Amino acid sequence: MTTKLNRLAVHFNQIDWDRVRRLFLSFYLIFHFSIIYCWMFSSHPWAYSYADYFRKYIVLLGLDQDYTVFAPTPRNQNIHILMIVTYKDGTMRTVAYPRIDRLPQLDRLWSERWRKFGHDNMAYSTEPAYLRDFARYVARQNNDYVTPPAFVTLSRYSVPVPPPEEGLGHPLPPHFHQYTLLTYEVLPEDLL
Amino acid sequence: MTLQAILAAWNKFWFTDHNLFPLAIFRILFGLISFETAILLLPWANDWFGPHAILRVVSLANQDATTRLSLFTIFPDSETWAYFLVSAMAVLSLALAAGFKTRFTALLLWIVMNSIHHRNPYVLNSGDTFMRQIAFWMMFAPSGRILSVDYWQQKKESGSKAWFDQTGPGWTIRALQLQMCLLYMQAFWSKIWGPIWWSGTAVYYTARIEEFYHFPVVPYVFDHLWTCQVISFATLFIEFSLFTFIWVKEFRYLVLLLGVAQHLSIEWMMNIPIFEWLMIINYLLFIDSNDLKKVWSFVSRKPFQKPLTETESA
Repeated sequence: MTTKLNRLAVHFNQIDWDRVRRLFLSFYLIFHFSIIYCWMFSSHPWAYSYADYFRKYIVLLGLDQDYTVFAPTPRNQNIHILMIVTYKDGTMRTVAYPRIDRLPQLDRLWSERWRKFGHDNMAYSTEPAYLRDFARYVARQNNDYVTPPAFVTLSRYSVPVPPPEEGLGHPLPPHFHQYTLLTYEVLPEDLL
Repeated sequence: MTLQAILAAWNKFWFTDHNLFPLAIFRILFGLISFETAILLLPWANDWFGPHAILRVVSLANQDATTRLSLFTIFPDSETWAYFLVSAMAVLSLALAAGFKTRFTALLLWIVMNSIHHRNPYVLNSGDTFMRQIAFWMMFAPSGRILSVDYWQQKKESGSKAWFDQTGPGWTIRALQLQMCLLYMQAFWSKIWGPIWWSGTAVYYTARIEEFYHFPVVPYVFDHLWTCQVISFATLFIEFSLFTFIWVKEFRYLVLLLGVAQHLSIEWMMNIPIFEWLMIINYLLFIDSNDLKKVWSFVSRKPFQKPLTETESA
């Protein structure tokens, strides 16, 4: 038994561990980067299937990524969001969502994520649950009047950026298109 | 080409030891950028990640129920916890910059970053996503071997060799380089399908999105179609170069200079905090350590120190 163990120990010591490490790392790097590549360039059905098969690995570890900013077509709409809170007694309050271009420089830095949330993700959201959450949040933030909020209306105001032949050398037009994203009836539990 | 040659090239690319100086500088700057990110998140921690946040956990889970690494699922859903996690991100970022228990700190930072990002992905931008990828590789990288508290402690104990000459496994540096190239590759690839990029008017439109306004630009630049076209095509060319020509040694520094110029221009023109600086610090990983040492020596020289005269030196 001892001889066998000794032989095993000798064999163990003879293994080129650096080579084993390299082999393991090589497999892992090929595995990892091939999935990431297929995740990022998933237009081919095979690439999509491959990345999707390992979706749990990517999402669990936060390896999902997308850097398609301003692509394939940059947004050509100037927008802002307006929120109207209607209280139980009929009083209405208009609440402006942060507009980066109207803020002082330092505030722009702090408020950028509000822009990201509102303008990039909510203004054109097709997910009603998110808009309802957004409306609930607005109701809670404005629950400081004599009567509680009854309704919250989220609106998007927009205007297309004129094409170069019309826009060059001219100031940008005001945001005159109004679109109601959601009118939400506030429930008592939303205000807790 | 033989299989042997391919394997040798693979081993050379991934497993050659690298000088750790560029990686250490990168770690310091990455830690500081991550700290700034946490500080910018802190005032709104409860509004974005707390129990009464702008998006509820249940809404996010209904949209995508895939399990995600998040400490928010383990600990109580409270306001204190939201502030604690964002504060922890700030502290861990500073610890990483200082190189204190570097690998363990990087692991904790990666977990905390994931937790915050997974709680509300709708306030994140590409910079946050890329930062998460960097944090992943920093867990494995030997970035704390020099210019760090770890190095200082180790040196005190064993008197290790000069930090300028420290080398270490290069595969994590390669992984970080590759990750950056994939970013530019996707940015380029996604743009070339847009006719607006080929017509050269993409920059005309992006320059007119009011919410991105940052510092004022010389009026001429975006008031003429030809300038907008030149900048649009230059953007495509630079992004293409940053995953292709960057690997050619003779072109590398020129490509990096163009990249820096592009990101600084965007930083000036558009209010996209963090991202541009994050990309610029990634370029450090492509710089030859000897060149970086020269810059370091120049920067850390004592300009007012008189050279010793013969008498003094004797």
